[in-house]
Amino acid sequence: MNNFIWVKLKQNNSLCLIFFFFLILSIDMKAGENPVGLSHIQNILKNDFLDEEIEKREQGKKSKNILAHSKTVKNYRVPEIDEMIGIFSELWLVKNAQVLSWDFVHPDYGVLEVFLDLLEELDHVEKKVKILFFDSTKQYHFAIPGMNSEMIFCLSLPFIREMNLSKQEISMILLEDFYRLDKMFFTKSLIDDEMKKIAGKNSYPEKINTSFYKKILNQYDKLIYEMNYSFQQQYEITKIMSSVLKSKPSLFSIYSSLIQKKNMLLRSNDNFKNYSRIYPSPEIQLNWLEE
Amino acid sequence: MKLFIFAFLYPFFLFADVSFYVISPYAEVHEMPSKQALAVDYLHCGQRVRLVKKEDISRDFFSVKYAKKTGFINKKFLSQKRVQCPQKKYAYFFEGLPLDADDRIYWGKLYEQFYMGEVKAK
Repeated sequence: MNNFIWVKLKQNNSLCLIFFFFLILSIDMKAGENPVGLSHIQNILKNDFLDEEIEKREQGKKSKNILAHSKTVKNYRVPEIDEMIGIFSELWLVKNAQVLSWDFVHPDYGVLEVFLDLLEELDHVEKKVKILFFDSTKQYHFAIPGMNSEMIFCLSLPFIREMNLSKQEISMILLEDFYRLDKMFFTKSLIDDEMKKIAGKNSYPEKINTSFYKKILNQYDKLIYEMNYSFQQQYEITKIMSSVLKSKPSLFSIYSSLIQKKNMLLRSNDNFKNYSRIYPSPEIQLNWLEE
Repeated sequence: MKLFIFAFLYPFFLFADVSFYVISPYAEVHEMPSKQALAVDYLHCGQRVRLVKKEDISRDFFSVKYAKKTGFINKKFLSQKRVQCPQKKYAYFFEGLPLDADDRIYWGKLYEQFYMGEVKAK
């Protein structure tokens, strides 16, 4: 009897199993409504935002890479012409520390204050000025563009001493150089096609060729040590000085006396003969002033 | 009450770090507070230094601390605000300049030798 019951139960069990199998299949067909369905599980997986999280992370990585790349590219920026010349001017002075002998101890002659007052009197405002004295006669005086729109004025102390110039007369020398710089005599001679081509651009992925730096520094050597201003250029500057100072007689007389002193020096001292080759010629300048 | 808070916070203000940044391309660090004093080191633009003595604020040279070293820097070349340094702005262009360590020192010296001024608008 017992065996009979057991066999029946076994038969019922397999029936039950078959029944449950079909039941699950039918439930699965009504996907979405039943918590055990495969698609429901897929939905759960979708709704746990894991995919989105992975996507977000990948996007984050991508944007990080883009940011790093743009930072790298930024490092290849080349300055605009003005800024580039400013950097080169200071670099050239650094490289010529020995030749010009500007690293020496000297008192403050108070030239800066007088020169700034002169510029202000002539309505040249918002000008940034740097003055550097050097202890050599390799050059006498010159001005070059500095960084951040500054103007660098370089003055030979032996030259000033030899002529026994006052602060006002020194300021007149600086003012001539100011107008030379303003007329861009120096800058126009310095800028070439290569500089124009690379300035203000981005050189990525290549760095600027070292020959470019050398070429510009050599050009500085030429323009500062071998520059000879033409009569035309000198005439232009003298005429600007005359027109600016004529309305201020005291300043005009200081300028006139400066040129006379230069004229005297060149006649009496052979060491400064070179001066009239660079800045022709005080004697003729006096005539231009009288015109 | 206010007095009490002030008295409590005063030591913090007194000993708080005052930082400055180098604003010239390079700046000399001197042994003594003088332009003529021996230069023992140089700093580059953007480098941060800390003021050692608060009373230096009114003087031409600041006693500063940087990278576990101390020295004196002309205050003309320091600012509490960061500036755009050519070394950073044009990193690879500047890196390409033919500059050795001596040149960098001389660049610092050059700024010490400059007389700098500005004609401001009226």
